Amino acid sequence: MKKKVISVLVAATMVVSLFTACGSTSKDSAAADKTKTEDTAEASDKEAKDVSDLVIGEIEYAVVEDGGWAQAMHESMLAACKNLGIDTEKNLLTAEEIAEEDPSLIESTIEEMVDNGADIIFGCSTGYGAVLAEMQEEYPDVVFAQYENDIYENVVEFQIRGYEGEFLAGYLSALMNTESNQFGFCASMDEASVRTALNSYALGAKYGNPDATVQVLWADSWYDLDVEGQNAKTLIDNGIKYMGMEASSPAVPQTCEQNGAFCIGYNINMQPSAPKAVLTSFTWNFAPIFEEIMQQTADGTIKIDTDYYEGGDCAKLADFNADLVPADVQAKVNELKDKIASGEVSVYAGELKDDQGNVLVEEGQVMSDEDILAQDFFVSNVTGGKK
Amino acid sequence: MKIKFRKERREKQTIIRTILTSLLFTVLALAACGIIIAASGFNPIEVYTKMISKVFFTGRGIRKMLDASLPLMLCSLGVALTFKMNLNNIGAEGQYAMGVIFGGAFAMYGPRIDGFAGILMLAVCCFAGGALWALLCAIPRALWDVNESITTLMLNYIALIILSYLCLGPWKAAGQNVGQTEKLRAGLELPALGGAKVSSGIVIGVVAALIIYMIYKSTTLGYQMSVVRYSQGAARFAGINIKRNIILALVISGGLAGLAGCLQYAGVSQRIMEGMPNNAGYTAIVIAYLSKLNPLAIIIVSILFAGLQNSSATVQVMGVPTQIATMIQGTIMLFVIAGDYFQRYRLIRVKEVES
Repeated sequence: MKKKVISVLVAATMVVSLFTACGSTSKDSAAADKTKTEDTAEASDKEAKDVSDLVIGEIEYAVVEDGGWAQAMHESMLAACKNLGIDTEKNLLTAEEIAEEDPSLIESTIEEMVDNGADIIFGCSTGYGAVLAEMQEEYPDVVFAQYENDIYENVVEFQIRGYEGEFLAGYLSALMNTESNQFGFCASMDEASVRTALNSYALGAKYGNPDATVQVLWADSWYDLDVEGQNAKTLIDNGIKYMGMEASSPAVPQTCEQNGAFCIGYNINMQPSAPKAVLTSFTWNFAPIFEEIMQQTADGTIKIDTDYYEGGDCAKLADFNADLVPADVQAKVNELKDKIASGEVSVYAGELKDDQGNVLVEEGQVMSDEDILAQDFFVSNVTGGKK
Repeated sequence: MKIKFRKERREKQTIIRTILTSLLFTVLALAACGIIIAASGFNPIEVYTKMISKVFFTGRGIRKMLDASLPLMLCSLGVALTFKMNLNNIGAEGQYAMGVIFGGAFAMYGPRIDGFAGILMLAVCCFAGGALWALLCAIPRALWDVNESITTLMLNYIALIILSYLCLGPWKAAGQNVGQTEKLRAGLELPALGGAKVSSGIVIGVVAALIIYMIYKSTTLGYQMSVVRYSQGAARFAGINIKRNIILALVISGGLAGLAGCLQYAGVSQRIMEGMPNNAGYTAIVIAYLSKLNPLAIIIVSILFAGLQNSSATVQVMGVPTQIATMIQGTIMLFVIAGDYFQRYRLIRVKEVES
């Protein structure tokens, strides 16, 4: 009986809410569509502006000193502003710890930035895209840029071909590891971008040593000092001396240092946290992309449906740890880097098989960008991949 | 002569005193934070003026504040309901997640019913999800006296992991690398309140609070709950079915948290996201406490709290570091809770003559 009463109450609640609501949603979206079409018509005759006068909004999910992703983004942002003469004290509006799950907070942040004259707003973590795309319709004069795949027509989207750098990392490990065919990898969550890092590391190791196998251990968390450290220790206890990582904390490098193993850092240059273990680090360098977006916004030439997917210097390794990596190895890695840049070597080139023995890419072919971005496989020399 | 104080319990707590004390301690908290803001090189008056005027006195700020208050409000109502019976439901976070999961399952796999009937079914599914998750703790608590603080807390992690699995796995929107689903189809969206662009979820929240208030005030269930709260023994002698009341309170509480998920999903975010509850279930505990478990006070406190959370954007864009924005929130909370002492007790000066 009581349950019935409750369901009646819930029903009553809904009725009241619907009566009070009016059908304004459809009108709203119609109006939004209208402004959108007007905007695309106007896009070409936007006024040009001096690039150093741009006001830039930066939305981060963590603090910018997080030692990982947000720091890599922020350093790129600072570098880009510096190159273009933008005063970061005055014209760079940074909002940190804006939860991707909190649309109201994201919207408040964007509106606050627009009120403060922002010309571009950068969403620096993947989860802001949907809100940014909606806000663009409200503020058609502001350029919205977002780190993600090509999804929205009204948002500039940018990504980096991180697999190039991770491929070099794997190759470097293979050159250094002359005693064994076994490599390790500490991964965070099982997700396409993480698989990309793992697979390209494994392919790089294989490029340097055809018998290389990569054992992966998962933290199942985006950031977990304990589990990441334990995973590194387990790999080391099983005789693995060289490992790659897709993890944000300094736990892996530090565990390697304590146990005489070596690793390639991730996100930012991790050498300072473990100078005796970090050979080099895979780093995200968004500065060239940011610079281009800023310059074009200033010139009024930006097209808001642009998508960047850049490799080369954007996906580079940090400086080598000269105490650990001999000069001839450094030269070989740099040589491979040039070969990738010139197109002579392609990371996801056929014949490529997954860990189940299925052919992913036929001999003589290369994988499409779409498949690279949505990796749902593990390459053949990865062990410990999730099913 | 020494000056000493003695505390004396106040007999009556008037609403005016509660409001005034809370205001006073909020001001004290702001003053305390002001010192740190000034020390880090900003003018506290300027920061506060901008923060308060933007969030509480602009149309946009109010709109965002109301939207952000929805999950907090519903979760707090649920949590307060169990606190009323001396039960600790720490699991609003997980019940919220489970509610969203059930709602998502309905939206994606259920019959394509749109409009009022569809939204109603979505709400029922969300409520059921949260209620079911709470039931898993309610039955062991009622039958075998298993501590519900622990079971509800632990089930949070399980629910969040299931949510994360779904958002990164089978429910992930095509072509994305983000743990979020496709947009909810338009027919299931909660309509906005006429012209104001505020989600009509706020009406549901207020109505839910009123209903709960009425339950407390004028139903047998409400009366029985308050008896159980003050003395289980007395309740037993009076022939009140304690087990049934425990299960009922926890299940409704879970259902309300699930409904919070529904309002956020259908009213604000329109997508299900990995980590969607975003600590609303835990913040709800603080809000329930600050509101003294009064459903009507919960409406006000959760709206103010949401405003406070949103103010972090304004403060940060001024250049004040995020840590200070978070600190202001924490300090206000702490001071207001401390101020509660002065609502319950009065200090009386005792004059003592040294012999």
